[in-house]
Amino acid sequence: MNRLLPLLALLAAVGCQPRFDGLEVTLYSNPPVPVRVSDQEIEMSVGLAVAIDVEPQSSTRFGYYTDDPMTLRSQDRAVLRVEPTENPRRFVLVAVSPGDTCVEIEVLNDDHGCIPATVLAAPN
Amino acid sequence: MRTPPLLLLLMLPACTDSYDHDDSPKYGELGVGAFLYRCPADGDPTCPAGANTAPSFPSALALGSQIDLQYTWQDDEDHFGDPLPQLQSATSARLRDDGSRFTALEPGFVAVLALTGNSEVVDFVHLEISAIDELRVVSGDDPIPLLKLDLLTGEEQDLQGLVVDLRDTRLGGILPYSWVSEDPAVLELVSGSNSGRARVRAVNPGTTNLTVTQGEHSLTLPVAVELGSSSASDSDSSASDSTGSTDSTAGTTADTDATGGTSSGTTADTDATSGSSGTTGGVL
Repeated sequence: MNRLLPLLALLAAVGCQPRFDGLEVTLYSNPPVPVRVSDQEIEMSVGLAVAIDVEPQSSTRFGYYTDDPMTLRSQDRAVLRVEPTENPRRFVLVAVSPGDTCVEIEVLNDDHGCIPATVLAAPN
Repeated sequence: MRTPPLLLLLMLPACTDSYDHDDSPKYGELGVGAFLYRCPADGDPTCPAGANTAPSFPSALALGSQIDLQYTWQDDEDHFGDPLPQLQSATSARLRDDGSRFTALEPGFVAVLALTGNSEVVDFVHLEISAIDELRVVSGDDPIPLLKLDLLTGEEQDLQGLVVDLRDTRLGGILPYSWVSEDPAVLELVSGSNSGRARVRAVNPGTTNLTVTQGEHSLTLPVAVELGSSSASDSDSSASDSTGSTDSTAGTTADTDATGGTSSGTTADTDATSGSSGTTGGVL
């Protein structure tokens, strides 16, 4: 029985972890031209910047802590930059030049896919 | 009558200045600080004469113009000792940045970011860049466009060139201008012949044309100078505040219902070849 204790402890620890179940994305700033920003797509016109608040969602009853490290990273910063702010859950998307890229999501040092992003040449 | 204490208490906040920075800024969209609009040279109609900071941001910047921007913390106590963030254009193809100097290269909206040394965005603001549709000349700070100039000998007048877009929005930013008097013996340029703000002086009685050029836009103002009845020295300020048509000592102005279309008569952007002296340099 004693041999099983570490295994049980490990299983219990894993069970208490949050399990990533998408991002809740909220627009924080109000850009002069409408943008589309969600955990499924990002679409904005070149030249714009928009601040977003993101919150990782958990499918278990254990949620993420606000100080759990989280990163959004653009695969092509020449198209779209994703810059951090003082608030670890707030990021600024900067549409640099027209094109497509993807914004990678990393929570607790685990990759969770990416959000397709399009920067449009002209305002909508 | 005794003032109730409650009334005094209510009046107190109204009498205190909660924002002690100079001038009127544009607050950043993250609410951390504010952006100040600086005019790097004389001639931007956004900055009053003699001031290098605008009282407010223009609705849009003129394509091709230059401005300086500066960032200030909204709450200095929260950022005591912190270096001011660097300003950076969201896209240099639309707004080129060179330190605090920005050049408008392409129409559209563009964000200016305030970044710390470790690339955190502190704040940002959006500016709009708009193409120039029409060139106008106004007298001093009077917003009504001039159609012609009527001056007395010895009289000096400050003239401001300004540009508007298709929506009749006045555009900000420093732009190169050219002011040419076809007959300097009648009307001479005192200062600002390459700036947006020029001062002219009526020298001798007669008529001539004053041609203003900004890029591909040109405007010719007919000028009539009459013999002044008194000495020249007292006429300096009289011109700039008379914009109606009743007083012959100042320029004739267009009606204010002008909404972007060119006024009839003398303000059409002409080829500026009328007149005789051929000193219409810079006309494209």
